[in-house]
Amino acid sequence: MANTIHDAMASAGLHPHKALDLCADGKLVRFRLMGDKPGSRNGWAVLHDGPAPFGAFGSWKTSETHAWRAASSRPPTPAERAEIQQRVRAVRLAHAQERTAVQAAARTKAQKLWERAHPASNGHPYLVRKRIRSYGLRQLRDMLLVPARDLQGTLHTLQFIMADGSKRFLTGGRIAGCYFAIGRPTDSLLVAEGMATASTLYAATGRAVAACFSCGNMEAVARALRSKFPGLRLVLCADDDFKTPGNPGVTAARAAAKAVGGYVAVPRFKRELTA
Amino acid sequence: MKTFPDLTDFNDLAGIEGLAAVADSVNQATPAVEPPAWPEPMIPGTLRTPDMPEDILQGVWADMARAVSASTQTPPALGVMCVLGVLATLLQRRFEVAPHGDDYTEPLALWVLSASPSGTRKTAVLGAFMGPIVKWEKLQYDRYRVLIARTNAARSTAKKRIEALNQQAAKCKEPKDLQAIRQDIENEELGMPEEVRAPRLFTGDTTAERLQAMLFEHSERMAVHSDEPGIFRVMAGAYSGGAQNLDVFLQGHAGSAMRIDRAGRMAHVDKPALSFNLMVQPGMLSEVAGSKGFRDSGLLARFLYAVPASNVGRRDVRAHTSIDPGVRAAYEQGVTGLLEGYLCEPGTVPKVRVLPLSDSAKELWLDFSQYIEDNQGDGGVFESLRDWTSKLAGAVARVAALLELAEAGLQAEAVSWCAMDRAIRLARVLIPHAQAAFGLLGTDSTDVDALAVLRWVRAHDYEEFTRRDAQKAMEGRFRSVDKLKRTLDRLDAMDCIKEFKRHNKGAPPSAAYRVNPMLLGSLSTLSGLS
Repeated sequence: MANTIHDAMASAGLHPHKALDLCADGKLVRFRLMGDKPGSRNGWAVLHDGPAPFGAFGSWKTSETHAWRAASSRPPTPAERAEIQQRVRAVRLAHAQERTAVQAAARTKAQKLWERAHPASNGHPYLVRKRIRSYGLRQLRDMLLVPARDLQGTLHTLQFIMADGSKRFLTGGRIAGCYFAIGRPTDSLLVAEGMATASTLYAATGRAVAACFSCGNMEAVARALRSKFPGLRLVLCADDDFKTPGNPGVTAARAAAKAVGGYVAVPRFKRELTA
Repeated sequence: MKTFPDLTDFNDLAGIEGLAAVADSVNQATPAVEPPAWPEPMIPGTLRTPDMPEDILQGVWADMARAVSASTQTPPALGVMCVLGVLATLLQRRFEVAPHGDDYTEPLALWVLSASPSGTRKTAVLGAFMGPIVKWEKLQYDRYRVLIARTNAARSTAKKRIEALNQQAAKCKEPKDLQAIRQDIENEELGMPEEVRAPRLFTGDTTAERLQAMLFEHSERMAVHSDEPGIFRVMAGAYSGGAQNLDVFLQGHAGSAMRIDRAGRMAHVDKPALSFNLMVQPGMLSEVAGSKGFRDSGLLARFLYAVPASNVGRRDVRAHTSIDPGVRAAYEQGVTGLLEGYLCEPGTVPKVRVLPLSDSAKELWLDFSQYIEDNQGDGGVFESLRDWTSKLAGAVARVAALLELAEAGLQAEAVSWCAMDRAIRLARVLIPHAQAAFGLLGTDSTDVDALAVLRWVRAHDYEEFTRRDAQKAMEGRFRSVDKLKRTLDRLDAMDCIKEFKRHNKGAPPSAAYRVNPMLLGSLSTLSGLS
């Protein structure tokens, strides 16, 4: 176990850009991470003092969160445990408040960028390579902008897709339960992971599709859509990550389908081809 | 042979095999969850009942109900019903409620019946709630003991003296002497003190005749609290050669005048008030059902039933808790408080105070009454219970008044919205309890029909059947489709069957039903169907 919270941050790869003077006062501090742009404050940390000092840190950019506590030779007494629990609750509350502020800022930024961008052309290299059309996408310079909206249509964040296919999200934006929708649902609604898959599904079936950006967000999106469309047939279209242990794509689609009483569709390849 | 390494999503599929292959894969989507297995069916007459809302009672009454329930590990329903029985015992004949604020009043006599199997600590529950009442009766007995002995002695000697004077008069030949003896007899009669009895609040077991006398003797009010069903045997005529004698009971609930003029006894009671708080085994209810007269006379419709699920088998024997002495003392104080001004002069009856409903409470009560009315007509959900639901609005007014008096005290001016709201919420819960009770009683006609349909299904081992099949097979029982539909709906709600549409080529679809396989496989093991 790391001796100090600074060691723990270093081992998690979250180095502050310059030496961080972290007070053990339970207040959340934001700072620039090494490798980030000047002026950005994507890193955060909070430290508590006491018989067993503890804290937490993370990055709004990668959404990762880590907890840390000082090594102790003896177990905490019941009173200490109660105090720690109370402080943990305070940390959670501070984190939640900070997250709300960060997400609000991301919403504003996403809206500005979205307004500044222009409708994407079908000639964008990524779209060409994927053999798909642009359904409501926008383009800013050479970046494709994919909007992530909630059930009410509020734009929360953007996914940026570069010409080389690399993808990233706007820092700190809410993604859980947000999706990119193509088409209007009639009798059924498909849910896919990425925008490219969603576009292909729409082109192939003509049915409305929601892209949820990652398999980890599939269940949250499925639940949200189920609450909006209780009578629709929801089909969770999985990525078949058969080479990854646990096949996260199919596993997440199944879990989401189970949660909303939906169906699961998996791409059926003729995998074995004669060379 | 070679395997393509990166073919994972629908986009890849479209690239390799085209959009048609994508559409095919989507069309072959499979449900993530297998169709749900059949839940365990409920056999008609064994309805599951909802729990009592915890906030029906307030203050010391709620505390005591909660404490008794925790201490005895019994369902909260038993405690709630006992509290209502106790409140009715303390307040009946002293107060009435006028829902419309006019001449129509409901007395506060209340009949509650809790059905709970043997071994579910009914006696302990009843004992806990009746403690302060038993104590009060004992106190009164001690207080009146000397007066009773003195009065009895005076009455006894006066009677003997009258007897002797009568004998003397029989032998007397002189008219003048006879006149003097007659005068003495008259003086003795007039000087004989009125009989004095220690006040009583309740009895456990009695005959109809003795109950009439008790009502007469105890200022026209009496209650029966018992954890045994003996009183039903009395009603059924156990002590009157099998002839039912229900009048005293029925009149005691309604508060209608009672005039008994029989050889050897007379009892004139203008406004009797009789409450019941019974706790019996469910099996005993079936015995009660043996009497058609009980249902036809409206006797069964007068009870508010609680049929809670038994805790037996789920109790934690190590989790024994005693009733907190503070809670017990507060409850006793609450009972004593309501007994203030209870006693009246021997031979007199208490003055009745009428509580109106507040405007908001009245609106609530009228809404509920209309809801009941709208659903108890022909084809309504309460049709098979309409004799019971007909009395429910009145019972709600009674319960609301009892709750108001219990919480606001004897000075309460009117029934508040709050008390009425809780009385109505209680009534809504009591409806399924009554359905369960009438099922146990075998007197819910829809349940009886449903059981008949299940027997027919079992006899033919049908896995599916159409509504038409059922009607043709049981034409005598189901003269109308409506009646059959109601019965099948009940079976559907009890997970015995599930309705579906059977498509017919070139003809309209038929209403068909799948039978819960558990009913077919192990039918004989399910109680109620043998």
